[in-house]
Amino acid sequence: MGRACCALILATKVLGMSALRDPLLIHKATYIAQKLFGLKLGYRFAWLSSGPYSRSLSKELTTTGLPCQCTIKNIEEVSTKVANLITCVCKSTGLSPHEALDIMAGIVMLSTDVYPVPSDVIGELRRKKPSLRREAIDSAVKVLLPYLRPLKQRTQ
Amino acid sequence: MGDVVKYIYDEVHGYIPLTDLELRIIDTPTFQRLRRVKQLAQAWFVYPGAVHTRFSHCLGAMYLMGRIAGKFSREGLIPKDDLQLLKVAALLHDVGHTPYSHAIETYFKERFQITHEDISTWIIMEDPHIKDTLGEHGIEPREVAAVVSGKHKDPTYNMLLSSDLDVDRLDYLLRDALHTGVKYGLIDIHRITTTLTVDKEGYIAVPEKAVQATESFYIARFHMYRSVYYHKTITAYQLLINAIYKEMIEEPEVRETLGSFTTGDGVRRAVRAGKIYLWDDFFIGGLMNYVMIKGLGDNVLRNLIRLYLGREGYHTILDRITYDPRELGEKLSNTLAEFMGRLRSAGMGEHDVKPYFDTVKIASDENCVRIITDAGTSVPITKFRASIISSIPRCMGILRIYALPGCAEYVRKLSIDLLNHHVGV
Repeated sequence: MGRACCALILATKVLGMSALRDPLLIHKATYIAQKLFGLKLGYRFAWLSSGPYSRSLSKELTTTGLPCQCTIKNIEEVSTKVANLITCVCKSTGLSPHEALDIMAGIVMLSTDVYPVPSDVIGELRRKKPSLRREAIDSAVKVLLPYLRPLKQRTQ
Repeated sequence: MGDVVKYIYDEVHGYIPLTDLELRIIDTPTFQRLRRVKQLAQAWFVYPGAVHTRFSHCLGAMYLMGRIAGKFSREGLIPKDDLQLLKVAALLHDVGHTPYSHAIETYFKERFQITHEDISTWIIMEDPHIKDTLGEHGIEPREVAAVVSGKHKDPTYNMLLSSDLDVDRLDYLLRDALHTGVKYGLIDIHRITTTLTVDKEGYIAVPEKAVQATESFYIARFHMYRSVYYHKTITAYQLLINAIYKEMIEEPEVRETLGSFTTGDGVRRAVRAGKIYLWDDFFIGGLMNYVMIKGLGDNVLRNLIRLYLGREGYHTILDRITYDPRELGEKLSNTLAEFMGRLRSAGMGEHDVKPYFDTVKIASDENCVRIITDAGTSVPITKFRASIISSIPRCMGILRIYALPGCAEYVRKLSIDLLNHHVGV
């Protein structure tokens, strides 16, 4: 149960206790931490309407509660990195942290993890969430670009 | 999509029409292997009729995908050109199941972090029989693999194959209920397939008028979990076959006979060489007989096989179900560790006693079916007040202790001493 415990710690460090009210935020924070910052929890994510979603994480969260002992050593460091990135996206887009995390997870997954690779990631994301402003997604992509380039090179 | 070239009669859905591509995939040795992989692995130890195979389940999932995706296509929710892609993905979604399904998959998962979904993906993209057949019909293997692994760019495609109400579950619930005889596993498939749709956000949904059919699906699934998929005796035989496979791999002559099928890389090599069709229930069952005839391995291995073949496997020492799994998951881990430590000190071997803990999602708040209300809004069924699903537990935890017949009494006594306080034996 160690890894779901880490996902829970990560999400609460990044978004505060409000993350516990919405399990999907835990999925998204864990996805970003694994994908962009190399956190080795080993969850596999599918691309669903709600965004990146891991069936294993969902199942394991049913037996995991706070407080708990996280067994992954760099969880603090990765949590800080994810939180900082969310703050950057919030500043450049004017979105709330929850909305920023939602957009970030969508952009990263559509850019690097799905097939066929969409020719227009922003358009694809807006098709899924029509309420999102194009300018906000544009700004988020700019912040994420330095992280996305190496990932794309690896998957090519 | 191509014309119908053949019909296969299925015990659940009746006549299933096949296009040329579907027939050619089914005719490959790789797909024919599924005739020799039982859908419910060890369930026939409890339900003698549960000897149906992955082969018929995959046909059924493809048929349901045809019906549901066909409806979506007529409603303009998905392009007609993708119908064949989705049907083929449903046909191949379980093509990578290991022999004896989840029992042996657990070995590969724990040892090599490989699941049957990984093997399915390898087969679709690298097995010469499958990838060439797909390519010849203009279907890109990688796109089929993307749907199967839940990574297609269109989330609706992924959810048709993997969500609370997907074609995989719809077929296996019906099929498994039929073959086990578990009557409360039945569902109103016609109502569901004719009303299923997608809401504005892309979630799988049904209109309010189909709430009862959807509730019935959730309740049927819950009953099947308790009566079949997590039945104490069926789980016991899964643990036993898992232990046998582990021990057989350690025996040099058996290991040599198993060839590639002992490691994750080996399985992938077999896929690439078009040899995965040899890895089936018959092969593993035959190897068990071979071990016994030749007297291979040590007493532990031969004893485990003898117990398996004679249906004298693990006894259930403790069986606890809870709808608040956290009470088991967190509080019990230390007590269980102490319990197992005491047993090891008393000379019990790795396979003599098996603790078993698992959680089962009954309904998931974040990924459940949506109800499109008469007012036009879309609400998760777990939050739809008029539905009974809003009131049922979200998950179930199962804790069990199993012991082989020779040491069952000793383990039972110790479990009463140590675990009584925590789990109320």
